[in-house]
Amino acid sequence: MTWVAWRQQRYVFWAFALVTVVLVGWALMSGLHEQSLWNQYHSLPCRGGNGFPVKYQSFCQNLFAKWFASGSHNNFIASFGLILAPLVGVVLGVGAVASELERKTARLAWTQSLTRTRWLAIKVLVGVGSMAVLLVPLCFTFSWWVGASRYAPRVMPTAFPFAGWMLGIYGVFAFAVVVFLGVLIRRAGWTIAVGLAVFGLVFYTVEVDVRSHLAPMNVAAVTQTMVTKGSAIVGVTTGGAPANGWLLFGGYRPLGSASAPSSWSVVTGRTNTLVQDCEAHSAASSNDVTSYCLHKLGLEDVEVYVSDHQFWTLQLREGGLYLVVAMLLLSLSAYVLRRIRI
Amino acid sequence: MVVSARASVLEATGLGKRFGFKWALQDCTLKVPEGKVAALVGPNGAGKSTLLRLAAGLSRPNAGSLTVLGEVPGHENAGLLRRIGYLDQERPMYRGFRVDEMLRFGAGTNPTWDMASATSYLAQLGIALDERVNNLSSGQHAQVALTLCLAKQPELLILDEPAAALDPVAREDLLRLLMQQVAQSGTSVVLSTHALGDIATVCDYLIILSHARVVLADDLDFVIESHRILTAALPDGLVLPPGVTVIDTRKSGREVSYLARIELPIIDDRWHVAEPTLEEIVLAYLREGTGRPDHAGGELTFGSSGEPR
Repeated sequence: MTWVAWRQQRYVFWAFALVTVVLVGWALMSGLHEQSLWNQYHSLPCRGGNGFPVKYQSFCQNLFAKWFASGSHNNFIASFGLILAPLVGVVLGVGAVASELERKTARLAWTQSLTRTRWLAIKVLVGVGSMAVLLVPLCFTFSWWVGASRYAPRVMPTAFPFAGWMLGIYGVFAFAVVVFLGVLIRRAGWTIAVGLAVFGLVFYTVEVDVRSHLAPMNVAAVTQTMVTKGSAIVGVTTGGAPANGWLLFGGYRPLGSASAPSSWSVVTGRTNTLVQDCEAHSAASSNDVTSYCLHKLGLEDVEVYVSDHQFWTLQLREGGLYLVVAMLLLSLSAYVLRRIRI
Repeated sequence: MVVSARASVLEATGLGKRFGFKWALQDCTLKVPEGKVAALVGPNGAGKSTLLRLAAGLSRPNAGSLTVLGEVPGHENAGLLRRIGYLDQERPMYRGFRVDEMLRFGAGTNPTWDMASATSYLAQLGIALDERVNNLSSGQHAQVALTLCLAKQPELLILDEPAAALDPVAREDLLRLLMQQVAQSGTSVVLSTHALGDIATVCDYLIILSHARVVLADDLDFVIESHRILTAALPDGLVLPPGVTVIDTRKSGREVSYLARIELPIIDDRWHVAEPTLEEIVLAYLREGTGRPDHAGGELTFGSSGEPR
């Protein structure tokens, strides 16, 4: 039966393998190119723009422009990666169950000497195994590519889905969703359509509403001081969320608060009004009125973020969540399959 | 000498299967003895496929009980599935597979698979192993599907209209293959069919389903022996002989004919008695739907019009 499950999906597998190889190759070449330009720009003589001799100005500006331009197709690479992983799961999942039920070949399989549970278990194992072969190299490549191309900090939502093991997890989750829907709908076309919609909805919900609750938040105070430079007075900001962190929100909170504000509204609701009232009635100079008011009201300006150190915690928790739901869906599929008539 | 009662390969008691509010099979009670080739006959929608799918463990009954080879069929009963060969009405096969890959599928899913027999059957039928299932004619498709059942070496073959939509040559080849297996291994067979000609050729047991109920289930020889066509003129007050159950009535001019099930010899010489063909018996049951026990012998009299009253 293992051979049969493989035989049924082998053309799909090889097609996806070809696409995966192309995408992995593209990401590797692009990442290496961008990494090389970045390293050149940060080496002598440009030193990353931190003071270089005037005679190298044109060279360094060109180098930076080249590095910047080299990232123009990064969004395509990212989009293809994000589409490919769940698509592999959806197509393999549909072939495993919905197509068999639609074409009635399940009747043939289910009247041989094996139980429906075993039939499904073999289908799932072969499907997940195939996805592992396709998506594990994709996970490694994209994890590396996110760093090499400096696409975005890996903990940020723009890069998080490509980094770590999430692409593989999306594939497995999409597979489980489609297997379950296939058992209920029993039509391949509708199962693909509904499966993609369900996957998209879950992906969006997790990204917008769930992920930020899966790791502890960090709070960093932001200090703004006014500095006189010649005839101008400029504000210099220090502190705040680190550049490689995921900034969730910022606002004001009482000085000495031990815990992180739980939401954006906590730090912007009442405190914003207080600060605005103070600023409106303050006699302080317009340059440092905010600092004056914050001091007067006993508030501090803070940014709430998820640190880069929480990256693997987030990966583990979000990936685990997807996997647990996938396991539940596959168990439900086995339960329903045992009860349906075809 | 002690003769033991022959075991049943399929036994249903009060079996019922409902789809929504409609009963596809209701109060079905029958026994198919071991070693028989049983024909399951009935009009479309009578419940034939439903009964066979229940027997193959593809669905579960809503009422009554069913045993196949002494076990309750079910999707988790791999031991029983191993002993049954089931051919679905739609003969599903993996379209992209070659014939030899279908055999490999059979070998991989059945521990009792006989690859030598399978290849031998297909060689006899002239079906190339490297042919794609997509490219097979409907006759070849049916033959490969039947080969998948036979090579499993089952104790019971459950075949849902195995020869439907086949041309006469393909039908003949298919039935020959089936009979060859039955003769060699003594496999019991339950097959549904609309082709009444096939019944006399290959079957020795007859089950008639009508309106979701079993109206007849018996040995074919006994079925023929126990039915007669009774013909008489239409006088007032003629009473049917005792032990007669009317299945179908035909009138022509001043004569009336009954195809009836008889329990006793007809000795009233006012009745002309003739042996019906199997086709006449089956059609009579299919036309009537039930045996109409209210027309039992001794209680039926006629008015001047010849209508039972």
